Amino acid sequence: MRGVLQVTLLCFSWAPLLRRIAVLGAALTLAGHMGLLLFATGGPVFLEVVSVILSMAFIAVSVVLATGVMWRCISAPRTLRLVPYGRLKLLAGVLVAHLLLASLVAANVALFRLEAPATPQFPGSLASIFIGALAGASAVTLLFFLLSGTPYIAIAVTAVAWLGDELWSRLAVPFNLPARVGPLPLLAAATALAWSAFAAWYLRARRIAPPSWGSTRSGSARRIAEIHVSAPAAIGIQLIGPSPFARLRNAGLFIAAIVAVLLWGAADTPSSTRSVTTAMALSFFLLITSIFPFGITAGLAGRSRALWLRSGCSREQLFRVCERLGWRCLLVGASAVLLVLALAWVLVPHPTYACGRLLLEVVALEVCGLYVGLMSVRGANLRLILEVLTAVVGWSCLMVSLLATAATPAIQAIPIVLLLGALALRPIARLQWRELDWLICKPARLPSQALRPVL
Amino acid sequence: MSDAVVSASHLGKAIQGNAILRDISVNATAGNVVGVIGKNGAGKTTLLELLLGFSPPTSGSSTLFGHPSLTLPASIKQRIGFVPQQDELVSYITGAQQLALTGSLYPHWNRALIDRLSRTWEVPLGQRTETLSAGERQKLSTLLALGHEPQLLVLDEPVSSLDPIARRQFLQQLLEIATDESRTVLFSTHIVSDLERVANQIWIVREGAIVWHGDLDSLKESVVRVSIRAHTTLPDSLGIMNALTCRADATRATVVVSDWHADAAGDLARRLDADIEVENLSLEDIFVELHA
Repeated sequence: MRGVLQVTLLCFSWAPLLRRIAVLGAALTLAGHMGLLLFATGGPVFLEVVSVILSMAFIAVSVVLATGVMWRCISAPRTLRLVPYGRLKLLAGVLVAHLLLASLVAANVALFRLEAPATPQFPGSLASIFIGALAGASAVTLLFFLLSGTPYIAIAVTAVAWLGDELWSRLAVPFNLPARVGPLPLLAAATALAWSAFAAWYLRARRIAPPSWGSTRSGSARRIAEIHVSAPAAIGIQLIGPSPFARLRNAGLFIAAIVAVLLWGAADTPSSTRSVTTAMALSFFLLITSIFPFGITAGLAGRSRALWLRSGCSREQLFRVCERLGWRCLLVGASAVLLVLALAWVLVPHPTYACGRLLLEVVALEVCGLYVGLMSVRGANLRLILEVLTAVVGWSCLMVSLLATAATPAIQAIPIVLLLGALALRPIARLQWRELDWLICKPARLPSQALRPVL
Repeated sequence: MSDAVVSASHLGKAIQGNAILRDISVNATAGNVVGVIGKNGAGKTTLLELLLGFSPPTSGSSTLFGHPSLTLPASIKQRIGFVPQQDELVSYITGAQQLALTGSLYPHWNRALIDRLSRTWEVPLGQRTETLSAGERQKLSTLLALGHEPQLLVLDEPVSSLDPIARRQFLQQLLEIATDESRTVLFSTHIVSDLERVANQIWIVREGAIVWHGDLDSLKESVVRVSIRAHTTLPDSLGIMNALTCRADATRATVVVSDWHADAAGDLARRLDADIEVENLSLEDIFVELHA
């Protein structure tokens, strides 16, 4: 039992980043409820509501995004089979985490109803909220588990966006959306069936492969041995990996999935839940794309260590090489955003967002993220703080833009402020690279057997 | 400019206020195999990484081929091969591809040497790097450091994951490299028998400081175990200079002494009215005594 509870706790906190996000979410939840208690009867409660919702989203994301991948990581080592009931304890722990998450969401909504009865309320029962949250989170976790061993992780990411948005719109705390709750018993039965089927496979599987973060096929990599690789290309491969074709394929799948969501949303009326869900899925895509250069450049300082002697480059030259790589990724991301926004503009006849401004905002966020990533040279702690800050700032900017009914001067100024920020960050990043200490800044490694002592 | 290939002067490093290395001054010249020995956490890896310019020192300075480590030009870096303690292999590519990648970064790459060594060491070059065992990864990392035939080869615990046969082969290869008098090999280990087999110079690191550096033979000659059998009761203090450890009872004592001179035995016998027996120690015994 103790092992199961420890697995549950780990689901909310297995990576330092998620731990911080969960703590931030809890703090925001508390602040939101306090705000509601103080201001619900009189003044506007918009800000407090947003904090509650954001915090719920953060906590939900922290658990559902991570659990599937983490679970696969710790299920992969064969030594787990030597632990008595090891897989069963893992399964039970993860399931309890999901039940707890759904309870937290339902409790949050119940509290909201008590604190702000005057605001528009979602008409569904607490049971429907609980089951909706459980079903959404379970689907995401199981999808992530199953797909993180394959190159089709992009589909899982899109599914997260879609399911998360569905879940969000079902909870519908800040928006007076029409209720679209499906038949609850059916949803509950489907969730139970999914868990049972998964458990039957999981407990009997002879071998579970660890998550695959890139291509497992060496088609493009094989060329490296057979064809002469130029020094710059070799440096690029050392820094960001060997298989750009697999990455492009994954990006293509991601874009295709987002376009499918857009098509799905376009078939409904402007005021429908679907339309909002589509907008939210789009915002998720934009967020992922806008932090893409950060995700690439944040690891470069550590990985460039292997090139210090081999490439002959100085620290300053390595900074420039990494910066160029970051810009290349930024352009790829911006092109994807341009493509999706253009398709959204064509496919969705009633967009509630300004495509041009969003594109500019994403590019500005990308530039900022690129240099924040390059600044991550002081070890894991600072990197994690920067990761959280980047995700929160990016998400907040995009949400403000997407939810705003009119383009106020403040909203229009966001990309400009971000670009100015990026301009200021570049010299700081460059300065940090001049004194880069590879004893402190090491390549990050994935945890693989974190649970062995727990079990 | 000095003829030292590797030189450190009062080198120190502190991370977040913790002193990792303190006031290290050492040199290594061409044609030598220098073994860096010390307990886990003594500072061996930090020392090697500071010497190679991976990390700026908190105090002092170091040079490689006369150039400051932190700002090594490309021409000097091409003369250095390094095998890190934790390999830096790229995932999702095969060993052969990793070799091709690294080879493309150097103007000179001895493919014949690499082919020969990979066959001798039985490195499965067709397998993806993440599927290799720890020992195979270590061998592959060593191949990556040898392909450009460096004049300075720095290896950070290169044999820790190898089986005894592979270790012997590897050390044999190291000896072959070292017979070329233009080359210098600097390697850290805590397997003393390996070091004894190949190194001719030794740096002993303890708690971030070099406690002994010089020829291996002179170390073995200068550190001895002195057995004392007195005819009367021994005094509380034996008054032996440079005593590293001392175990004594009423009439018998065993003392490990550094910087021992043969003349000292006669003086000691007269002073303590005792029979003195002096015994040379193996490197492993010396290492243990120095850390006692």
